[in-house]
Amino acid sequence: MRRRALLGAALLAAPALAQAAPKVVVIGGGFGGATAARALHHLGVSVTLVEREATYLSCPFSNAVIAGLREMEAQRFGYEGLRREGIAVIHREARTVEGRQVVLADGATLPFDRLVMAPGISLRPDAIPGLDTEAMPHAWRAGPQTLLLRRQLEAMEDGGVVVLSAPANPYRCPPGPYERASLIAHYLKTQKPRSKLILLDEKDAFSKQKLFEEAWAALYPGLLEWVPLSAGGKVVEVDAAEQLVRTEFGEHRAAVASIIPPQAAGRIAQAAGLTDRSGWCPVDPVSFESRQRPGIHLIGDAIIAGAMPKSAFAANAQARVCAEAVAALLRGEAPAPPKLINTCYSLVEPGYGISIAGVYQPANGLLADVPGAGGTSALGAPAAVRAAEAGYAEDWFRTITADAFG
Amino acid sequence: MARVLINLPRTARRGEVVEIRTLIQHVMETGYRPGADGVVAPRDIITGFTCVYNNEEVFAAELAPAIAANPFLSFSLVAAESGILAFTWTGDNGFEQTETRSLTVT
Amino acid sequence: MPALAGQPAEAITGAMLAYRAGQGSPTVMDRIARGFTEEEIRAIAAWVSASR
Repeated sequence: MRRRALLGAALLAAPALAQAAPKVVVIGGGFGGATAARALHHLGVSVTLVEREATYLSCPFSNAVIAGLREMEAQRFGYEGLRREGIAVIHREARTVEGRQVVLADGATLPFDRLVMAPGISLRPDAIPGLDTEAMPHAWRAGPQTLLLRRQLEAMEDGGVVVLSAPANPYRCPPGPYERASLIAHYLKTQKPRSKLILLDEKDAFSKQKLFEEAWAALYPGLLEWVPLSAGGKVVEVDAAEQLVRTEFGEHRAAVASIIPPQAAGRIAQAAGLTDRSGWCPVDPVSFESRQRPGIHLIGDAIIAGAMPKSAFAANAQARVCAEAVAALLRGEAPAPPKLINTCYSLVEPGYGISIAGVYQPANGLLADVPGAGGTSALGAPAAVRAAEAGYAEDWFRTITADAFG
Repeated sequence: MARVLINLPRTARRGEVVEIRTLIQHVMETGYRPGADGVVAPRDIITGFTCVYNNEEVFAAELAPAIAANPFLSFSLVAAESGILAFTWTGDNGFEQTETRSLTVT
Repeated sequence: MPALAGQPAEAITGAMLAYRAGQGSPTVMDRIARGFTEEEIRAIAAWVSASR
């Protein structure tokens, strides 16, 4: 049995290698996909990147746009850098994957020897009855929603109640809702000081919790209230017309509300049969190859990555590892077991940054924390450390966007 | 006293099915978990819950160590007549707590 | 911050090992360096040093 399986694999791989240089298609031009395309290209692999949008808007730092601390254009990145290097970039929507071909929205097909997908997330507003994302923007993908929420905050009268929600795990950017609450609280404190912010949470614990709570107690006492699951924080329904947010145990009338719905892997991952019952994509932690469809690799927010969070840094790290694995497999070699890093900075006010870091390696079929490594910034650290970390956050953003987009 | 959350309508029509939600903040320590010092923490859980509607028990639940912290219970009853609902949680170490709410039936 | 790429491998290795041992005043590199063996740190340093 075993020999036959190996023979089968060899027979499948051989013609592609013999006929022409192997082709790799990358779907999705975010932090994961763009990094993967560049890394594969640098490894000498022929790559085509498929991305629906002409430019990319970065989610990292988009909370600062909401709070009026940054302009949207600073979030925008193009694909000229990739094209200049000789990577083919196609701006069309990929509809699904049939056999060894990507099917585009217009019916055209792209054959591949291996496919890398970085499809990001899909949002599930239907999971919250009554939710109208125009009335209560999630702003969980940088773009029109980000600016809509910002305009709503700008139009709000002083003294209003801003209601935010944070979903249950897993979701994109675990500390994101708490950074958003912090920066909106900063906006209210400086511009509309009689206002209040309520953060309704479907969890009792969250990323960098002690650091956020330390900062909130110092910066936003009486302004920012966090309501955990065990205090009735789970949003079960909203009334968009009345601007009411209902939880399991009460309701809040919001002048402005931002409700972040539950999420799943990007739509095409579902269409291509790459998700499991959780809605996310199981992958091999060494090669990032789908456990459901051989020849297709997945990276970034869409995957089940064990201890590794859904972040731009994680997507970038996974992209580099995945590119090496794909190149190795195309050469007929086994990919080497990786170690991956994630670091995630959050701002709680301008000049006040906090971070969490982790190092990960494959263990028991998932990515697990390397024991003894990682952790958060120190509690009670002096202002100079917080200022340094805010600066490092900016440095990180410049570095990772340059790495992904050239 | 543990913090308790109860959600039910203040009024209901006679015969209407009313949904009730309750949550009690409790660690639900299983009795199987070793602490940082290696010593297993003694069991401390909520073991029982009852809802009494005008002196008649209308809902009861037994809780076990596998139930998560801050147990949330949701159930429904038929609004028969105005009166008092008494919610009682009992647990290890002689724990007992009762909360009451009134329901007006029209 | 000065760019790391092109710095001598020995200097990068020395800094990473010092961070791993809790020396200096790192904000994040100590947490990351603890996830790697000395051999891995030498390999990382060689790679970073060789990149543009």
